[in-house]
Amino acid sequence: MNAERIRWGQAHGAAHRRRVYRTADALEVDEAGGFEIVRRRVFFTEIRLVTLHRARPGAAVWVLAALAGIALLAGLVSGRSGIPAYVLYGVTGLSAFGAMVSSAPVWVVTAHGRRTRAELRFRLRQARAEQVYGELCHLVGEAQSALAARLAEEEPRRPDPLAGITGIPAPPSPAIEPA
Amino acid sequence: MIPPETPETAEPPRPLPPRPRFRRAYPGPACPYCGAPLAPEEMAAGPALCLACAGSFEATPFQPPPSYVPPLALAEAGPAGATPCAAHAGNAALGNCPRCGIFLCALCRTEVDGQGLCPACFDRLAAERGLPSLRNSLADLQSLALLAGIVGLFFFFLGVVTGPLTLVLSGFAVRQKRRGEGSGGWGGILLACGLGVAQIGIGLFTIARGFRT
Repeated sequence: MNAERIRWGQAHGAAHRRRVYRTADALEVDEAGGFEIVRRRVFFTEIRLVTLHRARPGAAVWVLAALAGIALLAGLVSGRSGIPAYVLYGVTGLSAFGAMVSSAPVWVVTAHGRRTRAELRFRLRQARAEQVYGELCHLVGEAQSALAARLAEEEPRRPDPLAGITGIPAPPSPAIEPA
Repeated sequence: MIPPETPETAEPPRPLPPRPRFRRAYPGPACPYCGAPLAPEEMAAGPALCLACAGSFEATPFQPPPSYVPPLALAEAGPAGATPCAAHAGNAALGNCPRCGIFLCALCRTEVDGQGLCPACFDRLAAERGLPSLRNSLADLQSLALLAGIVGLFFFFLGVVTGPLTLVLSGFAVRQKRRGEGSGGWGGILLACGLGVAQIGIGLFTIARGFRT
């Protein structure tokens, strides 16, 4: 494994924790589920498209808001004091806070490779998302031009079959006709 | 005596293959909002609009070069490059395998971890786990250490057993992280270490109190 890994972002889901690292030649996505980490790589030389967008709030906002409303109603019904009411008010506050956090704007940088993709989510950090997007595009451009140059160097030179034969005139160079 | 009839073609039942995990296939570049397929070849860098959902986003398309050089036929290579590949007699060799030394053409060479290996050496090293970049599944030692630390708190009377176990797992997690293989920050490891020390303290206190009473 590459020792020079820089943590760039994360994209946690309901069932998985995903962390994205930057290495010298790829983005590494560590997906932790249970007690196992599954690693995927999106190589810079294979990236076809990089996008940046603002994610729309998901269903979690509405679920948490509904939970907050139900808990508030139940608390009001059960009385203004007493331990059950305090617990219900606590659930109301926590759910409302969760809904507020879930509705906060999230900027997502996605790198679409040939075989897989990597996603980085930045909650309330638009500037950081734009910085990562720019850096990623720069790295991808550099890596792909370096690979193209290396392949052009390694491209086997196909010798001219007429090179060693004397007496045969060299093919004329194409003349450029003036327009 | 007639021997019992046994079918000659009877084979032992084969074990069922492991059930594959459900994974959605990667469809290629897609709209970040609706998942409609996008064609990066037809896109320009800058603001983009999905025709399916009218979602707007910023996009930068790339055209990755092909990842290999097409092999050169031996007849085309000329007298200077007339070494044939060990596996493909019609192809000119590009070089040698750094492990076994056989001649390789562009078809045979596999670039991995900075070396161009032949298929046999690649298979052998992959089977021996000698190629670090091929490892894509690791134990999450940090989470294991945290789990041992939290579960051990519930069995505090066994703290002298679960505490060192937590510390040992934390040590493994530190080693994994230093090798660049672990995932997550140092906070979880430090928390697990703290829990391990606390368990040992609580365990020793419980034992001392038991002896006193």
